[in-house]
Amino acid sequence: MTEIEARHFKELYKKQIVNDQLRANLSKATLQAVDSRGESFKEVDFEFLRKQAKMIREESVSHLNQLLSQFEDHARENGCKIFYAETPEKARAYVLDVAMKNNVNLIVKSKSMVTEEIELVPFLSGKGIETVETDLGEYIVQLAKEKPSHITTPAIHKSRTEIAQLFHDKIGTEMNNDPKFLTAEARRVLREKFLSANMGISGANFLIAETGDAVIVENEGNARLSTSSTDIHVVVTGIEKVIPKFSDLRIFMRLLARSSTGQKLTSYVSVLRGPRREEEKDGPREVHIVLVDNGRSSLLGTEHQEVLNCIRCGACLNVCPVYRNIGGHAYGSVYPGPIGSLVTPMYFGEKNAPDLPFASSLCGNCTEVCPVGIEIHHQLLSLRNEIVAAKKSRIERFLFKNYRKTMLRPGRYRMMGRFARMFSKSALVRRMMKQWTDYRDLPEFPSQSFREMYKSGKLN
Amino acid sequence: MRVFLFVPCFVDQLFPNVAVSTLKVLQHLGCEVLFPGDQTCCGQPAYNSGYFDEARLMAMHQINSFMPNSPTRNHYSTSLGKTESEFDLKRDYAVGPSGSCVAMIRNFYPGLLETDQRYSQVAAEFATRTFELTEFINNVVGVEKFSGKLNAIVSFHDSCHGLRELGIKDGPRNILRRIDGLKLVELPYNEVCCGFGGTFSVKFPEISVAMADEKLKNFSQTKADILVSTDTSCLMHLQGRAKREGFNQRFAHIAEIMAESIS
Amino acid sequence: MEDDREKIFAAIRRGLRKDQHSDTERDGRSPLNTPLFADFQMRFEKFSDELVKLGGEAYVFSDYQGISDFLLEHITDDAGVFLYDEIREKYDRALSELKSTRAYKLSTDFENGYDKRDVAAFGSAILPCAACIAETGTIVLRNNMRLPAALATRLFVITEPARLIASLDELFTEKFRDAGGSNLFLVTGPSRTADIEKELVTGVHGPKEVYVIFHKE
Ligand code: SF4
Repeated sequence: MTEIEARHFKELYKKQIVNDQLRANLSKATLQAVDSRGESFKEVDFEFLRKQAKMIREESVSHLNQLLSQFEDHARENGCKIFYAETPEKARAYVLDVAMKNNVNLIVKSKSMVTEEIELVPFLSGKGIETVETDLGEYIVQLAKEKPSHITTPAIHKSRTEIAQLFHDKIGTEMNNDPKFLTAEARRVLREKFLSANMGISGANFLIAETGDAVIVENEGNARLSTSSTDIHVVVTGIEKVIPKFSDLRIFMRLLARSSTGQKLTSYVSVLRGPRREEEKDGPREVHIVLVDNGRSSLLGTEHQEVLNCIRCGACLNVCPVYRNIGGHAYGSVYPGPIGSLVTPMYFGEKNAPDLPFASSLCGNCTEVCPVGIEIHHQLLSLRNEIVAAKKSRIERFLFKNYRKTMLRPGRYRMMGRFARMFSKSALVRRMMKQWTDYRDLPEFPSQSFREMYKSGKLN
Repeated sequence: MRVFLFVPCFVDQLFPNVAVSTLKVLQHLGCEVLFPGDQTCCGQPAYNSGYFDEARLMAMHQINSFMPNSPTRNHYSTSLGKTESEFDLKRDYAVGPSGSCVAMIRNFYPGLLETDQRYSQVAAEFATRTFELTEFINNVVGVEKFSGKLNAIVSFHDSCHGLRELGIKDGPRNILRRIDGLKLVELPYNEVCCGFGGTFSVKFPEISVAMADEKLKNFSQTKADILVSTDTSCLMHLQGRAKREGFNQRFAHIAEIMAESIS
Repeated sequence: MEDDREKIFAAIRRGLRKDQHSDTERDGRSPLNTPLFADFQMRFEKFSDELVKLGGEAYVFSDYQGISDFLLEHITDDAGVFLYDEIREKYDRALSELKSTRAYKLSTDFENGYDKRDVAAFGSAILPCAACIAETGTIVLRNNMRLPAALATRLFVITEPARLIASLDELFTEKFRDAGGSNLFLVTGPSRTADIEKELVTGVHGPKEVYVIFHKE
């Protein structure tokens, strides 16, 4: 596994935050998503949907073993091959094996966060199998040799001019920054890829236990093509994606698109039930479903179990003011934003992302919009507690101990307060407050505290 | 109606006028107001930084300072400003001028003290008796009892903890609308965080002030003279940044505006 | 290759020991704030509203001539037409002029399955559907339509009023769950993206134009 960059969050975000163009791109895009989200929920009862969705996801996760085996049985009946992978290595090896056995030389791939998580594309490309991202945003990011910076809008950090330049350099299009033009060019190039490819890879938004279906939600049509235009289709997804019933989709379909992009429904929803039947005329002849664990099962039974309810809608990213100012790349992880600050330390280890849970003002906007009712900011708090308990930052520990001692002794508190106010203008106090005073003025310190005034009796 | 003032530590030390105004407003509304002198900090900074053990001790202390004669009393309590009588969980109210610190008591004390036999019950009950000032006026006293007069154009900043932890949205606006001569102009994107976030403001100051700058930009657009909020912490951060960047609007706690409007 | 099924299941069982609660009762109410209507005309208006907002179009024709004229008017290129056999069976009277003036191929002409390059070459596809959904302006397709519905530049669906259901609540039911075959495809408007500066562009990979025709006898 490559190095987890999230460890360097403090350096990464400082590079991003000075990029005014980036912040402008992000601000425009995320605020627009927030506005259309709000608009789209007017027609339905959000709280009702959220309550149902939370309940169903809780049921799913707390019956994971039963539901997975149900899913597996039905998917097999439908003709799928199921493969469980505990680690990214294992999952990658299996996909490679399928490709090799079938002499695959070109793979078309649609969006899947799990494949990002296990770094599947660089792996396959490294083995000499051309693997093309076909979602427009992912394609842009792949051409730029970057990583996605948002879970549903991967190229959210790029302006049209940057994209025009990129297309010009990499695929030789003329310099024209009209999104219509750029999209048409991408269509032309990718259409040819679809027609030549001999294997398709996708993720899955939901797996349905009672039917063995994989459900894929998208807007462009590339997932539909990635799953339909080749003889072999490989689904790579997480073990937590299973839900009990087909009818549960009436809840999730109404929530997912609204939460991500403010649409009532995405352009395409594919409910896939295995390879093509004898009498059918299209669809893959082989379907493989790779179910990845990679740390997920370790959250079961812990305080963090609810994080597995996530349906990766991206709403928490769009509303997050921290995300809006630093962008996805600052998080040093495929999962950025509030959900990323939870999932990254949880999947890759708290040691590898010690700052992420702290990089939040705890404003709670994420929790407010989460369609499955994850208490995101409270989860951040409990992660903070775990990290503090494990970490040995002596200075910080010392400070908090003293602070506690002061606050437990009203006399000492009174005295400290008086000193602080008295010496507020001194260089020492200023230096101690550097992280504040470098950026903001301190308020005028009053000569008397409230309790001193109260005690002196002049308030009555 | 008897009210025990809950004065957050930084309000006490840095913004005493907010507490004085709170006292004045409550008295004006006919409440009997007491101030338990042993209170210090509610423990939120520790809690939000992940120091749950430290926060728990402070939570206990906070409760003790309101109920010094309760069986939970600890040896740190002094006689200074000792309340004439105990906080009565059946009839008294604790009221503080801060959505954030009230949320600490209301939403987090019960969880933090849940496993402590002596405190769990008291914490749960104390949580239900603790109110943020505008909440108290709207839900307990009755907002119609309040009216004032002040010529000003103001904008209102929703503090995140007030808004999302306590569900405070219309209450403060209802109060402001009862002030004659006061014009309320809504802030664009008023539910977006100002970037304070407690220790976040010093741990990640660049992000914190980038958020403040957004807020200040939106505030300037309203052309209002005063930015009013239920939380002094947001205001301290925004005002500090505004001064540094050369803005000269005023930042005031809603208690101060109310107190000015009745004097 | 040996998979990790047993390891993962053991880990799940270990974790879940503490947290097994029983099945939850679903609340079957519709989450829609205003209920949708029984009457076709009203449903059609909603369906059309939603589809038009997305850049598609919906029509009701009560005669075959209307359908015929519509198709001729909209299929002006000579890239050919993919014609699903069921459409020919039901609406042949509306297709005679089209068939005599445009190149076309029937789904049944592909005996061993569709060839993707052939299908991609068609400018238009005319398909039947399993249902349409008023709530969202959605077309529901099943089996044998994966490629034509995704590759054609223009997608036409011809169907009858009885297929127009009110909402997603009626779609995600046993009727559609147990309908058989390998897939269920929902199409809601033209293919679109907002990946470049959130500006909406239609026709990324799938159809740029989507037309739904209800034939009302
Ligand atoms: S945590 Fe909630 S809001 Fe964020 S991506 Fe997951 S489901 Fe969406």
